[in-house]
Amino acid sequence: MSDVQHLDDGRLHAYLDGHLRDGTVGRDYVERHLAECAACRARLEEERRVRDRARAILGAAGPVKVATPPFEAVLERAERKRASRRRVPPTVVLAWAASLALAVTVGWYARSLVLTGGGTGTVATVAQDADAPAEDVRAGGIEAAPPAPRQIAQSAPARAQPAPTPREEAVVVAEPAAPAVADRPLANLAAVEAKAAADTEVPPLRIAEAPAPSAAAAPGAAAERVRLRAAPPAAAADLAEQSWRTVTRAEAERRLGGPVAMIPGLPSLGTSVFGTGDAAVARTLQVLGAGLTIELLQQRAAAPAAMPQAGRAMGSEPGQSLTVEWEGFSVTGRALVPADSLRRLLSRLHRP
Amino acid sequence: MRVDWAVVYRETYADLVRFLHRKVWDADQAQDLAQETFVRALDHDPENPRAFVFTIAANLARDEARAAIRRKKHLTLMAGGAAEAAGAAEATEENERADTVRRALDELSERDREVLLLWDAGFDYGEIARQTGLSPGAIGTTLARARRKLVEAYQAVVPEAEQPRKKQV
Repeated sequence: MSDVQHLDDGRLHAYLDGHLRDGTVGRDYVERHLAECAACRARLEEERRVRDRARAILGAAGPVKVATPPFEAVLERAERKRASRRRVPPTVVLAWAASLALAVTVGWYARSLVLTGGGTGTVATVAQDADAPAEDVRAGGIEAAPPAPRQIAQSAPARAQPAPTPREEAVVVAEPAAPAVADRPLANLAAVEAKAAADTEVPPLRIAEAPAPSAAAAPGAAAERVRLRAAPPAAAADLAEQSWRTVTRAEAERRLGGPVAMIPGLPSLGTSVFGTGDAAVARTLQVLGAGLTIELLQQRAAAPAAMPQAGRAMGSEPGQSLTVEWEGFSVTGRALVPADSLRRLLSRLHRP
Repeated sequence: MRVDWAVVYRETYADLVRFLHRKVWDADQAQDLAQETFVRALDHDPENPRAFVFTIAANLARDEARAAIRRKKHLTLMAGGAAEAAGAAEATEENERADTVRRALDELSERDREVLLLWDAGFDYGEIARQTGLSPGAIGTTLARARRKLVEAYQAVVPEAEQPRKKQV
């Protein structure tokens, strides 16, 4: 057998592991060779010991029998992760809002220069001049931004007459529309609102994350509180359908006899329903940003009586509210955002 | 065709935890990473779900190992090495054995170790070849080398007195 090539380790291990195909260079070949070659038979046994020993060593490293948790645990975890990924870091939004506020301020300032300068020929030059300082100040944007829009708010009424629309919006939102929000970030809100009006690609909701960074710590807890408040213990004595019940979307649609009003692109915290048939009221919470939600109360446009009743069951939430007609329903949106933002949000209700 | 991840999960989970455990050396963390692996896999529709899952797991384990090294450095800086002493004090016999295996595995080259762990997790030669980019013909050779190296390294790190007892196990 001296003219025959002996089997190499790799082939021996593949043979031991059962991974040689039948055929001339596969298992048949190895077996024919082993039958004739005592040296390779001895090596095969040696390699078998090595293989078994390696397996035992690895086996000794644990873990002891692992129970497989239910697959639902993975799904829940994925859902939690998805929910948290939707939140943009507040600092990013804050910086973004601050630079926008600055831009608006500079624009306003340039405009006032033009107005006081009077001559039509000076418009272009002044605008150019105003652009240059804007670049210089931007580095200090965050410190510089907040006080400036407040100034605008005070001086705006004096020149209200020639002011173009976006600026008017800035003035409106600078009023303390949201009591829970400190007045400093409101200036940023104003600027972001103005920007959002111009750029419909950007959902205006991101704005909301700027004013309440502290709420970001426990948005889930906040949502829980809201939901708990929605189902007061007093309602428990009523018939099941005379209390707020959190239901699936399909069930809500069945009770309402129509589509559930939702703003596309916003995560939903769920829908609860009060009453049934024509008197049914659905309440959907959607997340605008960290710690900020919009509540959509929906009922048949023909049944105005149920809404106040449901309203009592709910308790009073702060914020603006606005009612629109939608698909034969009247939908009342309520959120801690300026009135015009709310109007814009409600104009985005999906078309089923 | 959509992957039925619930089925893949049931069939793969135990192997995956075993695989991860030999990389992060912590039972809880191995399970946590196994779950995280499936969370990440859910949105995808790979041709070979099992291979896909093990690829994600290997990446997660590598990231985790790096993070662990950073944490350890930090702790050692903070406590002047006291943290390590505390960790050693709570080592049980089981941990000790795992630690011996770990040190033996550390002696292997990255590629040999990967091939060995994939085989240990139930992959066949073809799957290992696809997963590691090695040629199918090279898997037997790599495994032969990895196994021998592991046995030798283990023999070298096990304290002399323990060897006879361990051999009987």
